[in-house]
Amino acid sequence: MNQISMSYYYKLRITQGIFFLSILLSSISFLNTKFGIKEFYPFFYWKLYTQPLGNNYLYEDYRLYGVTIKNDTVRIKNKGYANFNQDDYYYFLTGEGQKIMKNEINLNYHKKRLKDFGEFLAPNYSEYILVKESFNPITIVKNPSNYTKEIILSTK
Amino acid sequence: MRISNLFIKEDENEKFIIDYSYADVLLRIFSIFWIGYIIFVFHENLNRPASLFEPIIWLQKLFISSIPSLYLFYSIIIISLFLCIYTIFNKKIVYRGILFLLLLWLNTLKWNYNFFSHVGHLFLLAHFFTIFIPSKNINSLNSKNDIRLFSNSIRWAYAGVLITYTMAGFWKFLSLFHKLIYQSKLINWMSEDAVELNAIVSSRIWDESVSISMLKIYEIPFIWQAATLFIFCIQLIAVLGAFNKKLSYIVLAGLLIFHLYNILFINTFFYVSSIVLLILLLPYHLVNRKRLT
Repeated sequence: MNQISMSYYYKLRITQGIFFLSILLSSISFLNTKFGIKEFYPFFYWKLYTQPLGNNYLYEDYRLYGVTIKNDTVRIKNKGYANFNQDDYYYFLTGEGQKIMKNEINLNYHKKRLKDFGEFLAPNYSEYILVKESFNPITIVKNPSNYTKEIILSTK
Repeated sequence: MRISNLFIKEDENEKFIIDYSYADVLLRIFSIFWIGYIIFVFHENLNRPASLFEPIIWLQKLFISSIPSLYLFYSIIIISLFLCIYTIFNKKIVYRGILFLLLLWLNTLKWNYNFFSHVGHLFLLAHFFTIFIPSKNINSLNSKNDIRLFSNSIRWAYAGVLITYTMAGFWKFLSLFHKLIYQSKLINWMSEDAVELNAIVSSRIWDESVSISMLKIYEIPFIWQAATLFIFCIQLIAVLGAFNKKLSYIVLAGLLIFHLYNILFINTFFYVSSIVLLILLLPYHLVNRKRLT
């Protein structure tokens, strides 16, 4: 083989090499996640949506509520806000909610974050609460307000 | 490697090289728009309360432990934009490698708010795997052997990108079989209600609801199970599309249908992945048939 062909040969071998390396790194990502370590970015292992959402007829998600001075509680919907679209809202509160549920937290840190988040999206409430809402997908279709609420964190 | 040879057709070698010569340029032009989107994301981050910013993965912890300064951010933006255009003309490994690293850094900016999405991965992997593809065009290749080696580089680079879908398919089948065998009474992706439940929950997450007409369509028996099974199969075989042109069109069409359904009905917006798939897999050689004869 001449020099140019040699270079093509080595470049092909390297590309094949990084193909198998990426599979290895994806496997490490998977094992890392199993042991509670974060993924080996950007070599994710793509275990996504392996079950349909709501597959046990129960789904839990989180919402922000505001409390007025008169003590009325108002649900601050996930309708999309400036600088926080619906995905941002959903994932931010899910992250906070799950950390609090697992107790891996500094409570004051999360209270401050919840307060900052609340005041940014919907100012003028005296208190903000993080609520876990649970619902059955089949019944929520017939009645959108058919869900149970559990308070996870209050800024007070 | 022998298995891959089953799907490699030597007469497609030149098609791979011609198609890639377009895909390479388009990927870099698309990257300019992608960087524009990252500028928007960066300013969104600046507007948010600073206490909400929290790095998640190692790269962020090492290199972006807080929101970067305007000076640093725009320096990287300018270098990246320059490299997007420069690497169209100068395909040296070092420039493409640096561009990949900068894009990697830029992509982590959006994901410091309790969630690191995989939305940008396919785009980054497309940059990563094409770093070592030779820089020549088809006219400067003078032997059959060079053409074969060059086209195989393209095939393996595409395999690196498309194997992500194969992995996704693998987990879906594995979980499906696991559920069918060990928890056969529970809902799985082959259950009648699966797609409907998934759609209802996806809407409710955004405080929206599934339209009545769509709910009726979800009630039609069998088609949703068949569609799900079809998409799972397309995902599983996706990597083979990297080796064979005809298969690549089936994989492209299947994956686009999958992403389009998710964009329209599940609020899962893999726009970037869809565009990257189109850029990599469209048959540009059809526009320029003369060069093949």
